[in-house]
Amino acid sequence: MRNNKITPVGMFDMLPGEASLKRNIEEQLKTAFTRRGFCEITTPTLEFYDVFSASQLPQESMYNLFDAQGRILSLRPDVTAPILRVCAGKLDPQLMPYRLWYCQQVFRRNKALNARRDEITQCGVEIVGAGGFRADVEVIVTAIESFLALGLDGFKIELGHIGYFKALAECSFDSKELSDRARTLVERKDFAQLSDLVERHAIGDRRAMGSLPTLFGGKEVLDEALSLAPNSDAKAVILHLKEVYDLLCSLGYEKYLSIDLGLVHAIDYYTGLVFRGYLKGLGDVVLSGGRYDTLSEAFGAGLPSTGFAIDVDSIAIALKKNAPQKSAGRVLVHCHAAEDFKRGEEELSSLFEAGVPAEMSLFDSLSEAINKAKSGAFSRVVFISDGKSEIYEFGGGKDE
Amino acid sequence: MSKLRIALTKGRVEKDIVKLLSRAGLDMTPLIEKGRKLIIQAGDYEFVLAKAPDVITYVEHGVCDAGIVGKDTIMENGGSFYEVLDFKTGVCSFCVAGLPDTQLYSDYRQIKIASKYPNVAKRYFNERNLDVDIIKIEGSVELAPLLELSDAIVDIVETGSTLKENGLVVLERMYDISARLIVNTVSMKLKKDEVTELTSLVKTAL
Repeated sequence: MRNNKITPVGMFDMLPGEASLKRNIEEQLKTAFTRRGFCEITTPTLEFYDVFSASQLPQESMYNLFDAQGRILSLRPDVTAPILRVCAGKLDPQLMPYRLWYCQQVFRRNKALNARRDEITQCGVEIVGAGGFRADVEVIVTAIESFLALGLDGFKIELGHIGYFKALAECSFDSKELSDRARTLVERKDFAQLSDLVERHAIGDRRAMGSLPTLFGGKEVLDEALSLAPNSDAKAVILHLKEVYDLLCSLGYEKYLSIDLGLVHAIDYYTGLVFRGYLKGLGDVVLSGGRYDTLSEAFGAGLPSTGFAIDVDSIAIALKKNAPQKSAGRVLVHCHAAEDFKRGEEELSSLFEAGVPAEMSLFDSLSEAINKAKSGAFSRVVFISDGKSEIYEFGGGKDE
Repeated sequence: MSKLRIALTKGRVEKDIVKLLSRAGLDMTPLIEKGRKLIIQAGDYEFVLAKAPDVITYVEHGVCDAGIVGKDTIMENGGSFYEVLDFKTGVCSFCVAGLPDTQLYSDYRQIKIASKYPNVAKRYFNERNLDVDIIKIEGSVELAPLLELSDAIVDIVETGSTLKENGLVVLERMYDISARLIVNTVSMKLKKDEVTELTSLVKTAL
């Protein structure tokens, strides 16, 4: 069977309307990022597989192929690793910390028959070469401002910190295997099995580890976590998180913030503060990010970094639900004969300048143009003949 | 407006959960008298009746906030969601079963396992560093070793009576399973109070 009329699984066309909605989002994000001093970077679609080997992505989730020498290439599944590759080798260290933004497709294989997109557009920022409190705040402020720039309001940015789990695991479990098991259970908020594991195997002060899946919600979570913290490492982590949270509140962002100390999903990738963005009415996380201070070691550098990526396709779906179906008020300019086109072009530019969507008619006769407009495609036809223009309106059934 | 939309596995899980939630004080009569309806309002909750693997799909995609499904289905299908509560109903276990004199590991030949749960079977043997051939069977898996298609089977065993009547025995107990409450990752955060209310309600009946 020839497959020339369909797309492969996980690949989608973006039709007019959808495509322009998505492009709008990208433009708005670009403006938001640029306003905060970020510069654009683009990286190749195809990279060596080795670039991503430190990113903790399962091999089977990547699109891999071979180059002419039999080396493995990957369609980039993530943008952060390529950006660190560039920062570690190609940029002038004098310019550190680098503030970079990107808007690129990433490719990941999803389970078949799941209607998930394998090619999604990610827009995001990375601050490379800056550790500490101020960079943590800057990246979250940028995330919140990005959502606001899109006109979104029903969103939450949820903060967590990988260090809290690490500090608890270190004093509660004496083997990597046990702490890995605990991490999976915390990630899934599997209260029952976690308390069972803690009961049986944990040593020392086990209260904090046992209640980790419940430590999510508002600011009160931080106070609870502080009182449960069994050692100074865990306390320091919470104090750092509190400092960031309080500063963000003083900037007026409190209603967008929440806390989840059970955000432990990519523990070997992230090293500090992590965060996620949720949107009302969408079942998926639409923004994820955090601090990854050790990833650059894979590229021979020591660059403390933080950043986030926004899933533009999911945002487009969310915005499409509220967007008006058709852009009303399109105008069709129909010229009667060749000598009328000059006048028609003038009409078109003045409409364009007034911000009215308009286009030149491709129909051979006025009646065809009017029939098209009657079908709902246009609300007005401007007919130009002998240097004069006549206007036909088709808004509320008025036909003149 | 319902507080939560919950996908509920049709059949035995449904029966157990209806009993349990009635015990917790929820009026479940709309579910008992549901006829052929698939979406049923009961108190503050909207229940969606679905086949077990579909419960996971609905929750993962976020069209249902929560789901009630057996651990067996969760283990076979995986997915990303929160698994917050063990209902401790429908308790049974995954087992390796076969003819009484089966020696699975004594030979150099490749072991053949028939199962309705190929992922669970593969994971179990891979965890033990054993390569096995898995044959997917859709039902009455007990036939496979009897017809000498496989050396053993991986299946859910509750009382063991089907095995016994066909002359098979449990060779190894693998994992315990029961019905679980799963929650969509976003609903967990944006509807935290509603989810907490549901879990504490269930806990009163456990």
